[in-house]
Formats: sequence, C-alpha cells, structure tokens
Amino acid sequence: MAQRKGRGRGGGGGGGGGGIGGPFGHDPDNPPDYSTTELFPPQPPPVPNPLSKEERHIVARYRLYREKIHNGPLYTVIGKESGMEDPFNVSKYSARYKPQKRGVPQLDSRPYVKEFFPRELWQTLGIDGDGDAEGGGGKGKGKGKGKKLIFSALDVIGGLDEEDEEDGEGEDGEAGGKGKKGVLRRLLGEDAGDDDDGDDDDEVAEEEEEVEDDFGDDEEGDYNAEMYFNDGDDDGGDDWGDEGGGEDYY
Amino acid sequence: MAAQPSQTSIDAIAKAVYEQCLQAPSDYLFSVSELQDLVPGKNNLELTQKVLNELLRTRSLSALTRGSQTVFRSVPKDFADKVKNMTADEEMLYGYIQESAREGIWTKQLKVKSNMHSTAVNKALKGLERKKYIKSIKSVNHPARNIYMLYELTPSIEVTGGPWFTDSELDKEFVNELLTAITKFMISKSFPKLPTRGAVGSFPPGYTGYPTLNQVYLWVKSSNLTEVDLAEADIRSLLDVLVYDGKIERVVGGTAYRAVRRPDSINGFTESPCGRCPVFTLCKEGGPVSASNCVYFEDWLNA
Amino acid sequence: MSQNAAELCVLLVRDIYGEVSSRVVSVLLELGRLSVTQLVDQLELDSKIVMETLAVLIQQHLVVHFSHLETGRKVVYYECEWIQVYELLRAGRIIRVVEERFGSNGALIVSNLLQLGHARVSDFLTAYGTSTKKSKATVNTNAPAIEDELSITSVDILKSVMADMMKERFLVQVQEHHMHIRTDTRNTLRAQLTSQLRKSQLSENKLGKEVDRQMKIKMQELADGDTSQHAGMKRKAAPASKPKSKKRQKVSIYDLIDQEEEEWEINENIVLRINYEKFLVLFRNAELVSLAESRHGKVSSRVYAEFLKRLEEKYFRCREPYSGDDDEEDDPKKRIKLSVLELSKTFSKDIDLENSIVAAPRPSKTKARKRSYSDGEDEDESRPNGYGKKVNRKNKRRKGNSGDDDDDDDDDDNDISDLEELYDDEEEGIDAENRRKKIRMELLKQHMQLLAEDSWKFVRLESNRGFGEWSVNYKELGKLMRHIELEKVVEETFGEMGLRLLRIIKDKGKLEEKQIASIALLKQKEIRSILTGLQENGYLHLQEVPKTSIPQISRTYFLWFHDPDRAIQSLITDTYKAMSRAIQRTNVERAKRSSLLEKWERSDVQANVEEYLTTSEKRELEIWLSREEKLLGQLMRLDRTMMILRDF
Repeated sequence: MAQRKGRGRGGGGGGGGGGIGGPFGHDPDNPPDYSTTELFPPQPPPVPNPLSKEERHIVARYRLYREKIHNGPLYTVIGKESGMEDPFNVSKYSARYKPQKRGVPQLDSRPYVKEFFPRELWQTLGIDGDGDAEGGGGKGKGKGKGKKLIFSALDVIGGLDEEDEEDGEGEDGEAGGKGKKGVLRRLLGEDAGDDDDGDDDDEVAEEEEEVEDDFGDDEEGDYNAEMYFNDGDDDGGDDWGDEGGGEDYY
Repeated sequence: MAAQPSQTSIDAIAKAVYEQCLQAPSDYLFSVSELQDLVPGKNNLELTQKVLNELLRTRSLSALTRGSQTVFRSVPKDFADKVKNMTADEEMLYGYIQESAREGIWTKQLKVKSNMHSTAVNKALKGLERKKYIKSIKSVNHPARNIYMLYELTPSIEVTGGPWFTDSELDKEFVNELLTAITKFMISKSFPKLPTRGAVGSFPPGYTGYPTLNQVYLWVKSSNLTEVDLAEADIRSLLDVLVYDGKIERVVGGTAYRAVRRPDSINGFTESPCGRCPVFTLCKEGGPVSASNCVYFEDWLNA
Repeated sequence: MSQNAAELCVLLVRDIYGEVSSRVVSVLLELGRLSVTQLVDQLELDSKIVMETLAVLIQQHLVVHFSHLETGRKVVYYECEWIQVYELLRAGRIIRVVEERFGSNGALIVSNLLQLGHARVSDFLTAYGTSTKKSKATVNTNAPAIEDELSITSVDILKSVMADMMKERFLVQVQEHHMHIRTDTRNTLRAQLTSQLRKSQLSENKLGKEVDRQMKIKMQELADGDTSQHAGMKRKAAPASKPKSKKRQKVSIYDLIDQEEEEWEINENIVLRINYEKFLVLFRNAELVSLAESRHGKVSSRVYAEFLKRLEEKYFRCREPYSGDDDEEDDPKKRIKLSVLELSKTFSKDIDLENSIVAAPRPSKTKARKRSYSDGEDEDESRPNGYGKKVNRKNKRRKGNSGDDDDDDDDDDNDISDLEELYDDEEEGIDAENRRKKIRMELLKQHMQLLAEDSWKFVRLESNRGFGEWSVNYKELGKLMRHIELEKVVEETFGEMGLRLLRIIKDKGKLEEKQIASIALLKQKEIRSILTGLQENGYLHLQEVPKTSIPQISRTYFLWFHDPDRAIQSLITDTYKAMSRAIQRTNVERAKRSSLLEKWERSDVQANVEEYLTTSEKRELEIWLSREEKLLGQLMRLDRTMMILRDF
C-alpha cells in the first residue's frame, strides 16, 4: 500500500464555485433540472438478501396463522358471502367446491368472558346477560348456554410445521384444508425441503404431526372452511356438543 | 554654534545612523532622543532633524505614532530600494499588504483602509504585481475574493486550507488515498490473526497495543505514502474523519485508535423497493405512482 | 399516530380479519372514539353487523371501550387500539420464538391465543382435550399407539407450559382495564385520587403533585398486574404421585426452583392473553446480540446472549412509561446486575470460549508498556498461539491450534497474567477441575470486558464482585440502535459521504456548511446537495441565525443540526409507508391471479392438484407463492427495523 504517490493534481476546473451566503445559492456546477421527469425515473432496485431459514419460518407461521383465521368464524368479506355471489355463478358446478366466505362473523361458536365486553354487546355475543350479573373477575361460572371453545384441528397439534412436514404423505391431499398445505409444500418444492434439514423437529413435534394428519384424513373429503371452528353445522357437531354440554360456560 | 553642515555630510551622517538602526531588531521602535544619540555632537537637535528628514525622505525610516509620541522604525534596505520605485499610491497599499503578512488582504479592505478610488487601487495593485512586489492568492474560505500578499511570503494554512488543498481546491483523491491507507494500517493493528481462516478474534480486554496518533503519524511519515509534509495535526484530521466514517474508534481512554467491524448497511428499509425509491414521496394508493403500477417493485420481485 | 401508520393498520386488519373489520377500524382510526350509533352512521352498515364486528375486534384486543354517563344515559365509546393492530403482523415472529423456547406445546398455546384474543384457561384446556379426544376417537386404524398416551399427558404438560409462560410473562392475565380506553382509565383514576386526597386538605399545588405521584404508582401497578410469586396459580388439590420429571419437556434453568412449585398449578379460572411487550424484550436482546456479533464475533455474542437472557426476567417491557428509566440510571443501586460468577452457573459448557481472544503481538525488545512504534513490518508478529514468555521459555510453543483440550496449557491463547498462572499450575484431579472452572470464569469475564470496552458499551461494569458485576444500559443502547438504523439508511441513500456528514453534525452540534466541509475533508460544493437531501428526508435541519439585526441572506449564518427524535420519527413514518406498500403489492399480485387462486382454493382441486391444474397453472402458482413469501419476508424485515426505531 506504500505506493509512492504525489498529490494527484486532478482537474477540478478553475471555477471557484459560487460562495454565496446561504446554502441555497445558485450552484453553477449543479444547475437545477427543469426537464420533465418520467413517472418512474430509471433506478435499479435494491437486491435484497435471500430470506434466511429463520425468516422463512416466520413467514410460514404468519401465513398459517392468517389462513386459520381466514378459515375461521371471524373473517368477513363484503359482498362475497355465500348467497351473494354472481347469480350466474351459483349454478356452476364448480361453485359447490368454493370455500364459503362470510359476510358476518359467527360469534356463537365460542364462550366469552362477558365482563370484558360492554353490556350493549352481550346480546350480540349470545350472552344471556341480565340473569347472572355476577362479576367477580370471572371466577364463578356463568349460567349461559354451554358454549365451548374449539380449536381448529390445525392448531391442536403441530400445524406449525407447514414446511417441516415430511414429503411423500400423498394422502393428505384429500384431507380438506390440509390439502392446501400439502400442495403449498409440494409447490415450494425442494426449496422448502431444504429447510427441513433442520434438526429442530424434536420427537414430540413429529409425533404430533402424525396426529394432525390422521385427524385431517378423518374429515369429510369436501373442503369446508368452517369445519374447524364451527363444527356444529356438520356431522361433528354432535360429538362436541355432547361432551361440552356438561360444562357450563355462560 | 557649529557651521552649517553640508548636504553631503548630512547624507553621510544619515547613512551611518541608518546602518546603526539596522542593527536593532527589525521591529524596534526608536524614539527621537534615541536617534539623537546616534547623531554626532551635542545639542544637535537641528542636525538630528535634518538627518531624520533625510532618512524619512529616502524611506530608510518610517514614522509611526505611539501614544502622543512620534517613533521611528527602520526600513530594511531592500525594501527601501523597492520603495524608491513606487508611486505614493503603490507605497501606501504596499504598507497595508505588508501588514497583512501571511493572511493576505482583500482588495475591498484595501479600498476602505486607503480611502482610495477603486481605479486607483487597481492601478497601484497592477503596478506592484508587475514589479513582483506582491502577488494575488486564493483563499479556501473565500474563493471568490481577490486577496494580495507580499510576493516573497507563503500563504498561511488558514488561507490555503493546509495540505489537503491544491490551488485552493480540496484534493479529494489525495485525501481518499491517505484515508484508505490508514484504514488498512488500522485494521492490521486492531485484530489478531487467527489460525483458522475467517475466524473472528479479538485482542484481550485492556490491550494497549492499538496505535496512537503519534504512531500513525510516524507510520505515515515512514511509509512513503506521500511527499507532502504532513503534520501530526493533519493525521489527526484524517483519523477524525475515519471515526466519523465509523471505521475506527477511539480506545484506551481516547489516546489510541482501533479499527472496528461494521454491521451491514442494510436493513428492512434499505432493502425494500421503497428504500431507494426516487418518487417515494409521490407514492400514494390511487395516485399516479402507487404500489400497483410500481416498476421498482416488479424489478425487485424479479431480482 | 401518523397517517401512514393508520393506512398500515387498516391494511393489516383487512389482511387478517377481512373487509368488514377493516372498515370499522378505518373509521375509528380516522375519527377517533365513536359510539355504535355513530359508527353505524359512518359505515352505512347494518347495526347488527357493526356490533358483531366490534365484538370480534374487542375479543382480539384491537378495539377497546369505555362507558360514559351522558345526560343520565350510558353511552359506550369504542376506540381502536392501533398499536395492538400493528402487533398482528408479529404473530409469525412470536409463534416462532415460543417454538424455540417452549417447544411445540408452547407454540400451540400462543398460536391459539393469537387467534382467540384471550381465553379462560379452563376453556382452553377443555377445547384442547376435546379436540385431541376427537382426534383419537376418530383415529384411523394405522394410528400409532403411543399417541394415546401422548394426548392424555398433554393436558398436564400444557398446563405446566402455560404456567411457565405466565411466570415468564409471555402470557398475562387479562384485566378489565386492558379492555378499556386507556385515557379514560387514567382520567377516572385521577378523578378518584383527587377527590380522595382532597379530604386531606393539601394545598392545590401539593395536591397536584401528590396526585401525580400516586398516579404513577397506580398506573405502574395496573401495567404490571399481579407480580406476586404465585400469581395466577393455585395449590394442587392432592399431591400427584407421578414423577415430576415428566412435567417438563424442555429443561429450563428454573428446574431448581421448580421443585418447590410442584404443588402449585395454574388456576384454570384466569383468562390469559399474549403479552406483546414481553416479547419485545426478547426481540431487543436478539438485536443486541446480533449487533455484538457483528462487532466481536460469535463467541462474545453468545456470552452476551446468555448474559441478557439471565437478566430477561427482570425486564417486563422495553420502555417503562411510569417509573422512568432515569431512576435506574440515577441510582446505580437500582440497576439490574449480574456477576460473571452467577452467569457461569448456567452458562452452557458447549460454548467454546477459547481461541477467540488472542495474545497481543509482542514487540520483541521493548516492554509492553512502552509501545514501540511499529512500522508495518511487524504486522505478522501477532502470534495467535503465542502465550507469553513463560511458554516460550519452556519451549512449549506449538504451531497450529487445538481448541479441544482445555487442560493442556500449551495451547492456550490468552495473554492475561491471571490466566498464565492458572495454566502454569499442573495439578490434576479435583484441582484440575477447579482450575478449569476458574479458567472458564476468567474467559467469561474477558468477553464481558470486551463488550464493555466497545464504544457501543454493550455492558457496563458495576462492581468487581463475583468476577465482575455488569449491567446493561438499555436506554442508551436503544438510542444507539436507532441511530445505527438511521445511519444504514443514510449510507444506502447518500453514500459514505452522507454518513460522514451526519455523524459530524451529530457529534459537533450546529455547524456551518464551511465548517462541516473542513472537518469532513470534502469540497463544500460537493456536500451541499447531500446536506439538502438529508434535510429533505428529515434527518437534518437548518437554522438561520442573522448576523445583523436586519435579516439579509448574505448576512445570515445557516447552521445545520441533527435532531435525533425528529429524524427517527421521519424514518418511522417512511417505514410504515414502505410496509403498507409491501402489503398492497401483495394484494396486487394476488388479484392478478385471482381466478387461478380461486380455482386452487376449490376443494375438488385441492383434492387432486395434479389432475386439475395445468403445468402452467402450477408454475404460476409457484411464482405467486414465492412472490408472496418474498413480500411477506420483506414486511417482517421492515418490522424488525420498526421495532428498533419505535419499540426498543
């Protein structure tokens, strides 16, 4: 590095520059540009680093979380709920397979801690409010109808390992909502597969995944976005209802 | 009463007095009585007056006032010679320019001080410049000003901007070459070499072997990096810049410096298409520039 | 809250909870608190739908409420808790970090709580039991037998994991005030306190101060909740006979303490929710660790990580709004510290501490004190293996490096005299073991010292007790991290010159362009456009100081300065905007392929993708999925920046 170097007397031009008072003085070297500019002046975009394994995990968890809510009772759309589709579409064969979208949230699918809500919403929640106004930080059990919290099947077990699932479990393609994940994984192909090399699947997680699969397999073949939360509408409703009946939650 | 001394003898006496005055330090101020002592004879006030007049006439002495007194300063011989070639205007301006020493003086100030008309000033300055008594210089701080200085003087650092300037223009390449070289030197002194390639190691806490300003200075001196004579203060300026660049930091209670590793300059924002978007402020949903028609996003997604 | 933040929040709610919810949120963010009637008017939606949507949003903690008495009538107002809306996008990050800490059970708990908003423990457990039972009842014939047992023990495991998560404050009990509009809670409390204290006949001035003082305490109590040892727990009915080791899957450092708590279990009556602010404490530590790694490498950063983890339980949140961090800074006694001795007790033995701290290059003739000037030729004198004179003398110096044998004093890399002595002892047996421990402790201390010596001051030495006691000045580090983010943006946008100028101005205060140029060793006309650019982005500001009483442009100083708060605020606003754009672009990409995606969502297609989708459709689907991943990934990266800028 010790190369001998005199002071590089580079050009620089003779212009002393306009040393005019303020910083806004007219700069002869950089005249203002009055030409019209394009909407998107050419500019190379930054090239982001590829997502790390951990970042992909985070994204996968987020997607799954979102998917579960979309399939759950609280996700609502405007103008697209069942019965409001394009009338010409309804008759179409394919329409029966479309996941149903809600215009209103389905609230009666779970118990609520009523003192957390303003009284004016109790009826909305299906809480028979006036009867049992016992407060007490929710210690006592309400006398409402036997509502039970129900998890989505995906949540009960694993469900988090969208990318970590073993390949080759082809049968999950038939399993309702599960299938989507399967495809997703398959479509992501080896890329996502790489992530699996991780040692982070401990035994428990693996076993639990299997439970998930079995559970999934067990459902009706038809895709039904509501089945996870809103089981009451379907065949499963009886099972859950029966068991839940004994324990009162409001 | 002594006989009237002849003009020749006055010339001779004046010459002798002048020679004696030159022995004193150049800025020594002589009082009238001191000068009188140098003139031969007693009660020689009249003679002294004549000699003084002669000396002032030949510009060998210049008169100044100190308090209520008039005092005199000897004028160097060569200058005295120069002055003989000057017009009165030139001489006056020359005096001011001389006073400004290595800082130089701005023409505008010369006009104010001399109370001369600007054409006269310009004419006199031209004359002085032609005789190579003064020169025009450029100041880093006031590049647009016309500044004059005695021909034989070198402008001060304040005027030239120091070693970083060539013709009052900052020599960017020169500075950058030095910065790069010093950075390399600092890195070589700041991290231990590990047997494993690419491994990251540190010197132990409390390590005092990081280079000090003086060591960097000596290294630059001995490294043949440049012929320019750099002072320790100049090296400090360079090190300061490197600290501001985040390349080095001060250690050992501020007495030494070491190179630091820097985190990537990327984050969520800079990696986004928006992070470098020239029309970001215009971007608005539903506007002419929006996420839906954004070409940068398309490029970014394809990157 | 800025316009850009509101835009992002509406997009997020739409992305997660759909259009109706997002419209409600949008109106609330735009107009502030509203009653149901006002909302219905604004939204032109059926009041039934509005109320149902409000219920959803309250359950998810996205909307809070408070009822006021107005002309003898109770009116309930609803307000959007926008910061909570923002948290929606952290779901992935939170699930992921819990997965790492508490395993899949923990992930199951948070994942469900994120969807449920909050839930009573008993409801949660029943749901879990039911779901697993159901899965068993309908289990296929090929289900492995172990599974039964697994599901049966799961509820117990779940309870104990839940208790752990609560103890570490990742979950907190929901209190009624969580559901209420904060300003109303505060105002009510203040009114109560004032009327109470008025009875004590204090002067107005004193009364005000006393109210302020007590408010601080009360608000802190509300924020912290029950911090007693067995909060949210209850005694077990009968001592269970099962072996305690079964209880915990992940061995935690709390094992020692836990034995006593065997008789305690989670109170099933409490209602739990995710405690976002505690997760931020984790995320902040993680950012600090990665910063330390970039400066000092892996080993020191792991020491730092372990150290921060040990402090973690003491920090409830990143910024304390009531008891200021200033108290802590003013009073060293209040600082949270940990000694190397304490740290070493839990420090993983698997972490190799050796070989990253290397002996100094040893000038051959001169004493270390008098640093001989080296002219660049002795660069190679640094001897990674050189262990000082003693070793040299003994002729034991070896080439190469082995990190595997701590015992062998030949190949150690340390230049510290304490260590020299330790290594020189050549006893065996118990003493050898002790010696190993001591060496390790000394190494830990060295790494801590390195972190403290850095100008970024990762840790701060508090005392010499226990091989040194250290604390972390999170407040200063927060500022530092924010500034580093700003520097990154400045460097990427304005290059190295921009960075240099920003740092000069930050360091020196107010400066004229001329002065800046001379410090920066840059041409004045060159820096002008950069300074102006930095100003346009809000990172620098300009002050005009007239030299004379009559303002005149040629007689005015223009002083540049940097205001960190304003600069960061400006960057935050831009970051919100960039986040919104990422989501909007995702929506655009989705819409472009809407018919394909609709097809894909069909259950018959799902059941047989191979057959129903053409090759080009599959390819297009793949493009969509990878684009969405890239955009969401970018969103998460932006969130990381946002955390640093806004939350730490």
